Amino acid sequence: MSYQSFAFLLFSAVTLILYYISGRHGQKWVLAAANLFFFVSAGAKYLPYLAVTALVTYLGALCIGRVYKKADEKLAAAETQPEKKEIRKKAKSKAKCFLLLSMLVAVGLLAYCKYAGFFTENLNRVLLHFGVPQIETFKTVLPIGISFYTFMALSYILDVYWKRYTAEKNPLTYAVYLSYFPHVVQGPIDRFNEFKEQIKDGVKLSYRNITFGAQLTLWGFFKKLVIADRLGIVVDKVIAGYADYDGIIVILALLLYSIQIYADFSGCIDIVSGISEMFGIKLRRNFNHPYFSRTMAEFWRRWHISLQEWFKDYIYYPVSASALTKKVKKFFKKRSMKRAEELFSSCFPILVVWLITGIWHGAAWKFVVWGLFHAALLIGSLVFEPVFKFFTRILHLDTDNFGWRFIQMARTFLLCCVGRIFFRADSLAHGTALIKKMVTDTTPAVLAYFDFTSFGFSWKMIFVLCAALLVLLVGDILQENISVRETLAKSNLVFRWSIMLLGLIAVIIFGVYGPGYDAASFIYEQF
Amino acid sequence: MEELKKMLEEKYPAIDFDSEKSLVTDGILDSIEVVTIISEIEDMFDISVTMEYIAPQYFESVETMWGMIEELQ
Repeated sequence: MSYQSFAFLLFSAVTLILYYISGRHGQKWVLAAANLFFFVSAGAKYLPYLAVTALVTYLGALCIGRVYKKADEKLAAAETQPEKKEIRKKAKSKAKCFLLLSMLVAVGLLAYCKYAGFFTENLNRVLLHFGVPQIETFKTVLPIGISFYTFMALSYILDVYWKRYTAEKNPLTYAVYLSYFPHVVQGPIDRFNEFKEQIKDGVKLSYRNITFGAQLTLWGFFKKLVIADRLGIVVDKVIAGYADYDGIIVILALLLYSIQIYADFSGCIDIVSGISEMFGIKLRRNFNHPYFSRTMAEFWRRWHISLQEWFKDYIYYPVSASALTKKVKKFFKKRSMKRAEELFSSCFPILVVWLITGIWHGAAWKFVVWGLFHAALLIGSLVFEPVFKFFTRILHLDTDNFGWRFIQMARTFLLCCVGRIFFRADSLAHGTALIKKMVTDTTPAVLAYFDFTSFGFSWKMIFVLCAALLVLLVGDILQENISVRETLAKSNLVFRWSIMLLGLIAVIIFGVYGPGYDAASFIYEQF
Repeated sequence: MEELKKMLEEKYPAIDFDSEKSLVTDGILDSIEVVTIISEIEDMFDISVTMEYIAPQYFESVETMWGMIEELQ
């Protein structure tokens, strides 16, 4: 059941009605049943993977909580500091055992489903090189949402281990969190404590939640069906048949791909966040108009925010605080290499984070290259920061004027597009071929006489696409400065409903639903 | 606490540590700066900042950072 299908809307509507008539105590049960139905409709074979991850992390967290509780009781009775230290040390190492065991199962399942094939494929290449017999390649299924619910489960058990909150006793609450149908397929990667806080006392039906949710969902459908799916037709054609096009058309296709993936992914998040808002549950913010970013670091604070925050909290900080990092920093410190010490403590965790980010997106070398590209950009900006500052000072650049900000935004957008060559390509070799095409076979004059209707659009449809892109741009500029939904809510009834109806009509008339193009797949569904 | 405030002001002169009370939530300090501050705190007060304390609430202001240092000491 894809998020933009009619079946999903019907399913959400029925769940919503049952949710509000079931009362405070029945709401969790309704959500649990809806999540189960959603998973079974995607394929019952995926359910055991989710069940094992949920059960193991739930029990693991309970055990950790029990270890801490017992330790607290012993600490209250202990009198001397060495005695207390010993109790804490023992509790920590016991809790760590439960943590590692739970993580091993959850990460192991993810690794098996997502990376076993990739691993054996690459191992076979090495074996072939040394003339050793090949091993059979693993054939695994990729359970729906596994990358997302595994990360949510890990965040929960790590937070309990780090004593950020206590372990949940009610298995229903935890199961609802992990399998919640609006966030389980493509995120956002929510945190348990924030989620629980919103459902613990039940949710009252509110006009505001319903209308605000509906508006956000409609905006998401507009981005997905009118913009992303239409751009997708052009991008897919050019990238697959790049050899038949001039390099400048390939460059154009990659620029359009950056807009497509933004409209697609943020559109999906708006749809699910809107639906969830109708249930009175606010999901984590996942996008904050990333293409207005002036630097790559800022871009990654505005794009797929919940994933970046997950990596920051559970990879970046732990790596920064790890024994290895501390040891290397000490090495530099002893030699009075302050700059090297600072750079290492920032750059090493960035490298680790981006290697994992790349691999998380898919079991393919192209994602590793994409991750390393971004690591290089972020590390480069840190290493050369004093140089940039020096030139800014001696050239008396006003970094806050609009012109400079615009140049920075354009530069960041173009760097993103470069990275996305490998992200969009079918393989590393395909990505390299695309770069070669763009560098060696580009004639900008082709744009003047290229027949854009050859993609199967009439000029009228191209005009619709340009108008929709303008609406997206204006919408994003407005959202950057004001809350559009709050402003709409304060406007008069006729204007408010006219906007809603116009949006609905635009989605119905101009959305891409045609046969021959799979309107059902979101780009991030595959991750 | 004055020692901590002096270090922060020297490192980040553009930030007003007297008035800012949501340094992480408001995005005034990013993750790289938080890691740098942790490093400085560890050196200055001879403590080890463990993962339990690497959370936004401990880095929102000079006061919350000082509270964390006191707990760790």
